[in-house]
Amino acid sequence: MTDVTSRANPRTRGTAGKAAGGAGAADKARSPYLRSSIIVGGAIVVFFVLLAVFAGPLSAITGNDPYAEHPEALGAASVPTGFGGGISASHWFGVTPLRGVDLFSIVAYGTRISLGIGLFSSVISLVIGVTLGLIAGYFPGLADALISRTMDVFFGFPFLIFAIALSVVVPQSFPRPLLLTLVLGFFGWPGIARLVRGQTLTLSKRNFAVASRVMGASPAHVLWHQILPNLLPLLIVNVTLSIPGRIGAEAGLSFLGVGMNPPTPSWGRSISDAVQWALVDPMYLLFPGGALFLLTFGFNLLGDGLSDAIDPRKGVRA
Amino acid sequence: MTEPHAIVTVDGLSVSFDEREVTHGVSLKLYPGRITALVGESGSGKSVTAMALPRLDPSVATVTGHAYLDETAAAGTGTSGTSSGNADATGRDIDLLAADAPLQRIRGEYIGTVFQEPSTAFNPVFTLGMQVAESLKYHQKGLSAAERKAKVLEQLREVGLDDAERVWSSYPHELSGGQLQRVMIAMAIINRPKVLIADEPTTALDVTTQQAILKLISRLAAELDLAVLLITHDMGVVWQAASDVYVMHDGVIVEQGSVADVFRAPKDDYTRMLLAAVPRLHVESPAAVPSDPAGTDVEAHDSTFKTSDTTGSDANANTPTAETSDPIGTVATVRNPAPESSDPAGTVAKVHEPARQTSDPVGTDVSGREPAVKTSDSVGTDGVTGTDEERAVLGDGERIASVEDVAVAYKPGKYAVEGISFDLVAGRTRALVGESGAGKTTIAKVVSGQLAPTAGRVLIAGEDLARAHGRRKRTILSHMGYVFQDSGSALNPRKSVAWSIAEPMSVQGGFSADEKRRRVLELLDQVELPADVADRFPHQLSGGQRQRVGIARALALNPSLLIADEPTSSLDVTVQRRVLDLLHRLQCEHGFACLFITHDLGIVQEVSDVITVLRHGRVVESGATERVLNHPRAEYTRTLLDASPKIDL
Repeated sequence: MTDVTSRANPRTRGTAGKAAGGAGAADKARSPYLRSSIIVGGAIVVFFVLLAVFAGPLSAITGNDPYAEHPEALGAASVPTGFGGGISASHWFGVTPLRGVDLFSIVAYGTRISLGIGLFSSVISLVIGVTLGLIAGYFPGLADALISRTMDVFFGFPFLIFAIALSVVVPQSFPRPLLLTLVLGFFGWPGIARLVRGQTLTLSKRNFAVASRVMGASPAHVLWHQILPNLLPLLIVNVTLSIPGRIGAEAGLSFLGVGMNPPTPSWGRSISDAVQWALVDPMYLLFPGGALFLLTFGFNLLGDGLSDAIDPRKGVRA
Repeated sequence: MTEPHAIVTVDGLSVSFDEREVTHGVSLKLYPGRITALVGESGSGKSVTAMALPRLDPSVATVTGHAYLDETAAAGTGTSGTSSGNADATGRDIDLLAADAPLQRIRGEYIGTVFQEPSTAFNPVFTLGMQVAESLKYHQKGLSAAERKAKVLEQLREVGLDDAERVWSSYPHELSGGQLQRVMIAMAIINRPKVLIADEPTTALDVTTQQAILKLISRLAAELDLAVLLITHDMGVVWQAASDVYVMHDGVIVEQGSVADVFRAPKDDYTRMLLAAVPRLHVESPAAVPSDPAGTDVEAHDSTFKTSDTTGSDANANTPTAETSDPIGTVATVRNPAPESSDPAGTVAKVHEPARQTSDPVGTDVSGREPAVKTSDSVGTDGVTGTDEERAVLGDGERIASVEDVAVAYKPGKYAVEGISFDLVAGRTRALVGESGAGKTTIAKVVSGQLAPTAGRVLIAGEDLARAHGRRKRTILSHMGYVFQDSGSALNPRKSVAWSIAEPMSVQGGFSADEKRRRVLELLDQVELPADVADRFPHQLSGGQRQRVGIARALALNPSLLIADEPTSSLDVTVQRRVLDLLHRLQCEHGFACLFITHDLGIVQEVSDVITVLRHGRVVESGATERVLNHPRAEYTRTLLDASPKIDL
């Protein structure tokens, strides 16, 4: 079937061939999801998910946990002794300066916080943003005006001050990761909503949406079947790109003292701590920073690959 | 006509992309003062061939072969500022395709080019005067700004833009498509090239504008001794403007010759098929015979037209000519020659054969419409009001929809359409005709419930559409199918064909997945598509296939009314022919009423029983199709008819 359709539509074949390059030909015969970007990106993300889940046992191999201090690994001026910030068989990533906590344990346990906050706050933003964006884009007039003005307020709202104020008001007993997820998720939706609204405005005027309306379709049908599938690639890319940003935001909030409280391990807090030690002990910055980079990279690859794979024009059938 | 010296001789021109040859050894000749048409369907390679001459082909293309421009003729361009006098003196031909061809001189100075879509061919941020003057800068160096402006203004007046000063300082969006096309022609010929390449110069324009532009090109060709290569897909345009024609198919010239010869006695099967596929407008009233724009060709064409009336050869079977008609009952004879005698039907079938292969035999077509035709026969055209006459044609079929004095104002007080009233009757087709901006689509939107009329109402099966909401509106709309102009855009690119066809059933609800699947396969069969199309996506189909999918979707719920908004205007003629046949057969089988929106009077004549002519949002004329086309009462209808290309052999 692939052959027949390719011949029937040489133009598509031309562009697909150009876009996919040499790898495209081999990909064609297989499932659209078996492309290198998805495999590599997916592997990286799965790796970090496993790291988060098995942080305890992995740290336990060397008998470490992210709270125990190892002053014996520190030399003068509280700087880790030995190669690469004290890398050894018992401390795979070395130890932190000043307190001598095992860095591998921090990165592994930190994955839970960072990945969790990144993922769940994105999901919250996505749900709110897509719902309100679709409504604003499809129902001009009052609904659009209300939602759009609310977005403007959110865009103009000093997020940091709000977050700092919130951390004072919310009792300390309230779990911090949950608080951060809610705050980041709640402040992240207007970006997505604005994107979705704009796309909905144009997509709802496209002929296939008009065709649905001429059949008497309800707005829910048009939004769900005609508009949302065309928004998917955009959303996937947007979300996968926003997750690293949210991990960074968690780092920023922790840096300001309104995020994770020390000594709770998190990438963001580690990175902001490590910046002060960058000249003396660069490895302290390198490991959590590298983990953040790798996860970001993995999500980007995955998002890119997914948005291609679900597009029938670029997928295996083309 | 004496054979003049060809100014451009193309010899064995082949263009290939990525090692794949798309045109194969094309050879053609262009003569000064003559319009040569290169005609073919999309993908035939006509544009690629023509654009290779001024080397405007895409850079990935490989061009081989030769195209000689007669330099002695080219040297005649006295205004040439760049001095390559030595080369000119030798009188040797220039190979346009040679690696060392003087591209800058070829483009603009030897060959002028006019593009298809005038509104996108100009840069929107510069005034038109600047853009026209630009080409003078490169080809006629040493002119002062004032001289350039004077030259441009003179040129603009020559192409019929009388208020040249205003055009000079206008931006592209301030002029109409026809005016822009004139500016583009002015820009193409301001350096007095010897050759003008016009790539679909009138495709984006209305018929009346098209006629004016073609007239202009003909006049310029004669006055400036310009060799014109007219690229088009429209046989009507060829007939209207060109004197020679090359027919191109799959990158090969399949037939060439004078327009009269090729049209009267096509030798190649493909040409025959192409000609048979063109919906031809035939009107018998001498008043409606156009003042043919093609200067010298007028006599030739007109005389053939006259003689053909008596010969009535196979070739014009598709245009049932006046031979069988009586002065009053024109409706019957022109639409359907079959009821009168079985012989003409035979010829129709024969000529249609290549295009019709898949559709029903002609017999069905005829029987489906016979009653209407008969009734109209008995009614004289004189002294009959439009409504009485329409009633006669429409018969006493069920009124599926009636539009009652509808007006729509997008802005308060400014009516886009006003005072529109008509009925749609089961089994009959009403054509809505008019030029762009006439309000055709607005009316379609009102009838399909996308737009609530500002005044008046639309009753569908007795219910007022604008007052219905929710489930009731959905029920009313389930009686209606809508075929879009470009079904490619009306199909969700992310949904399979099966999903799209089944969508009306999903919207109405109450169908199981099995039922939907069965109905989809049934519909695909009805629109003559293979079953495996169901699981493909729109981008994997050709334009004609997509249009069939669009029709299948419109028919999913067995509607009693079908609205077709220019359903064939984006298709090639042979594909258009099949889609029109398909629509006709389906109407015969299902008996739905049809509102057919089009700008092509040839199609109108073929598909419709009654016609409503619109202009500026008002009905100028309404009545039985054949009466309106043959004896138009409104001046505007006559103008439209005059401007429409008519192939009369």
